[in-house]
Amino acid sequence: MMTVEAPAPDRLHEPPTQRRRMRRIPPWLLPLLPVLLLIAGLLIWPMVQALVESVSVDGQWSTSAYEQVLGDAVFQQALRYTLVFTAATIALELLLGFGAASLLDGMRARTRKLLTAALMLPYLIAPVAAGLIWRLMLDYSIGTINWGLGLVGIEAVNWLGSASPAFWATVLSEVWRSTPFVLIILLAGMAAMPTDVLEAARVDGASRAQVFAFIKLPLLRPAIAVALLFQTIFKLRLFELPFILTGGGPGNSTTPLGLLVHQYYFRYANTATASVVSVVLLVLGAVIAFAYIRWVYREVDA
Amino acid sequence: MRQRRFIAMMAAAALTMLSACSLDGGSDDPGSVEQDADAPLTLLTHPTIYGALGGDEFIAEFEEATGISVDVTTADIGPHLDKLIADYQAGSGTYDLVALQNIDYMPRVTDGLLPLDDFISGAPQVWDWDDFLASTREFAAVDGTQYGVPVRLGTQVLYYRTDLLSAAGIEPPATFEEYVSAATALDTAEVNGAVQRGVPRELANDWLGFLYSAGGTILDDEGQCALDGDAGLAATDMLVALVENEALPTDFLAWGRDDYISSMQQGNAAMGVYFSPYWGLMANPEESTVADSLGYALAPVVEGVAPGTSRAQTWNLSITEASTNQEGAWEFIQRVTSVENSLRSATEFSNGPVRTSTYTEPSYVESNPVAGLWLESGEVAQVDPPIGELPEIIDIIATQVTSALDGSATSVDALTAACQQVDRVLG
Amino acid sequence: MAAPVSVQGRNLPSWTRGAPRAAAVVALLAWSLFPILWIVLTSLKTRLEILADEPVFWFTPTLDAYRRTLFSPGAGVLSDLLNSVGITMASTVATILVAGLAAYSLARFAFRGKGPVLTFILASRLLPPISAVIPLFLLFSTFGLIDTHAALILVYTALNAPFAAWLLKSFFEGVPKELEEAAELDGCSALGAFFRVTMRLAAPGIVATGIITGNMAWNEFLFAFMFTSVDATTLPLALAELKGGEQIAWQDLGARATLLMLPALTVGLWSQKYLVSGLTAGSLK
Repeated sequence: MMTVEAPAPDRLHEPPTQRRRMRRIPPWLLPLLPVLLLIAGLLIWPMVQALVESVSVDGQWSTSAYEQVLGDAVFQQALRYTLVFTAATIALELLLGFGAASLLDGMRARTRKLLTAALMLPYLIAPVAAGLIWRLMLDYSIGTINWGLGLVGIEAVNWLGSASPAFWATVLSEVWRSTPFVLIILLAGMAAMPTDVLEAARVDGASRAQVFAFIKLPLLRPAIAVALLFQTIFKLRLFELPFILTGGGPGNSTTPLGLLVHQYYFRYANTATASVVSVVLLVLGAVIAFAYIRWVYREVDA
Repeated sequence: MRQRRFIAMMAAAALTMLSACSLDGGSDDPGSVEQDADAPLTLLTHPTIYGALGGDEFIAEFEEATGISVDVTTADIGPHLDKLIADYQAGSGTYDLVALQNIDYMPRVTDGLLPLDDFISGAPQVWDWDDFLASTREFAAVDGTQYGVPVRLGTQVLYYRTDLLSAAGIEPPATFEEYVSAATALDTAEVNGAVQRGVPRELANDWLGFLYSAGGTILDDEGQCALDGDAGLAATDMLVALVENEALPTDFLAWGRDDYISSMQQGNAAMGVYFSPYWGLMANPEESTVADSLGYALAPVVEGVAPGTSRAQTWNLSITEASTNQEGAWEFIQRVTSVENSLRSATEFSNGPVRTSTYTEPSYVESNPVAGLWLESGEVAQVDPPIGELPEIIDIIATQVTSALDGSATSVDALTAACQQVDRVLG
Repeated sequence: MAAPVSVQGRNLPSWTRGAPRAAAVVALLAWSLFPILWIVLTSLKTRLEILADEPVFWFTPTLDAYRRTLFSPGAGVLSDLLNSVGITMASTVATILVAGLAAYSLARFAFRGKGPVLTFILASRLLPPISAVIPLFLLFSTFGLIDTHAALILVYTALNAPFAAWLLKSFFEGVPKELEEAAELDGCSALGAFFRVTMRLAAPGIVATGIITGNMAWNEFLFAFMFTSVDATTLPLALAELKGGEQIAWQDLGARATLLMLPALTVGLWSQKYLVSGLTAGSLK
């Protein structure tokens, strides 16, 4: 069987039969069981079940649900929206997070902590509340954003009533809510940077930009990669933000795959098609998870 | 109390989990739910309907009179049906009473509802089933079985600002063409010529009304999609013309019912084709700045179609098969739809009445100038066919009509695409 | 605000460097905080002030929306709030217990198959929960768990446990094993030594884990939306509930949003140090 650590001193005094039984259940296994059972029962099993449901129609093996979903224009739009949304939000979050992190990085510890605390707040807010807040702010006529744009002479934007601005409205709200996560990761990455290297570079006369491009950026690569991968995973779960902010509209222009699962299952009462969309999300998630784990192991090996 | 209930539920949940294996094959035959005449009732309803029937006030009276307590869950139209269907699938029998729209009476919903015919035929004379408008009774029946009792009727009618129209010398429009040209002429920087809701499902609902106003139907006689016929085109082109003439609010595609109601209330709208019961909100001086300059007329139609033809929607109350207090639930329905309460909800809570006696009650007609219009409109209104694929069809309409309105497709292409998708769904 | 002094900036007067920086900081703060402030202000306004053509910044605040939200008989927000508190606390405690045990095992034992177990836990954290919604719904239906607190507590514990286990493992590993061994030599049992020494020293990490998982449970919408209807509805649902009405009462929605945000923000600010360490450790380690 598996290797077991040497028994603790007091166990040596136990009667021999007892000891043998202890040996059969290795001590590391019991504490692990609840978590493994929970994961297996409430996450893995349902996902396998979704896979099964997606290929069975009236108890028969069939890929007809896949044909139906993959050929559905609504699904194609939702897939496109989810992917483009993910790319756009992550790019903006990295950009903004990086800007904020480098701004904060040069500050005194106390100022930095205070500012981090303030900038972190949106991340603590429920996505549904964030959706509501931005729905109010982005309203065409009573919203503060269009009012603010008007102050600087920019024409009001039809944020929620037109497909392309509505896309950006969802992106904006998500970026607002989750940039702090990127910021915190990057700040931690910057804090972990060897100051002697940076100092040496400056002494050697490297400009700020050079230090940034040739020293800081490469050193931050792991932190950036982590932030990026986690954010990608989280974006696939998009559901309540468009649900509240745009209702998936205009038309179906801001309907993500997550909302489609709900729509197929509850509104159309179609378990098979809803499961197909679940499986698509699962596959997307698995691909990213796989990439992440490979990356982690490469880092560990290196 | 809350705490005790919580602990009890946790315990019950744990027990259920422990005894799950032995529960298999237990008695959950839907026909034989054990009845308890004192069991509390749970009502699932839309917030508006709840208010329109007397809200907390009525519930308090009911509890007082019968000793049966009532829990109320309210939800928006989409989630509301989700919750019901979810509850069926869960078999938990949470709800005793459900408020449903006529379009909700599709097989997967009626499967879990109790046929009401025996209750109705056994009801006392004073309740008077024959007093309900015949059309509204039909809307809640499927193949001769009555699944719901109507509580609210709404059609589409034209509400407008009398001051603005008379200042411009414009008569209330009776046709699509007149509607477009009036809206275009009335549009100013401050006031929208016409208002329209545009969020996906509400747009589709209004569009279906326009389809009927243009003499169309969803399906043709063979059961094929008929949305791309002349009527569908006329309905779509009418909206496209309003957009092109900039007579609608810029962001109307983000407008829900609240937006177009409040726009009229705030004096920012000259006209709109409205769901009829919204009159109460616009004519209420406490909510509305234009309460004394509101006009009303039959919905504009395409020439050749009976004047005022539009889409009727009813709300109805149904009892679930899983209810443990079906008698109590029926008692609730009888009381809420009684001649007196129907009149009261119409006069005090601006409900759209379903009883002839309400429409002919002098005090009501006097206090509610639109009563005659509603009755007239109700007589010519059409309803959607009760097919199970209606939710899909409504979503398809929403997407395709939006694409015609935002200019990404022509009306013809949008409707052709809609029909392709509808026929695909119908199989 | 005063420009923070930086290491650079030897050649130019400090204000030229400081001014754009201060402007950027102000812009960042406005971007982060104004939306929060705005919804709170909205909850204190009247309908007319909200619908005014220009945003109203100065007004006499009213608590009407809160009164309606919390105390009007039909609103049900108070019971949502209580449900949220109960479910969040129960699931957080359950998560810490379950994940803590797993983390103990992972941090303190070397065994064959540890790599796959770690991968399994990590991978399950990355899977999209929405893919599990429908089968779980059916599973819970069979057990009569739909619309119960237990359903949400179970789901939130399962959703958070992998993350919490991962996080706690890294915190436990931060406590030198020698300390535990010393306690064992002093007569503690292995588990006793773990509880007395490691748990105490890793307390900040446990707090961090609790805060993060608690926040997730408090804010969760999807499962609550799908799995509850009357008895176990949580506060996030109250924000979506008014959406279909004929008159959107922004002041009421603002009040609901504020009730949902305030506890999360308060706890987050109070425990900022732990939160940052938790988020960082959870991602970088």
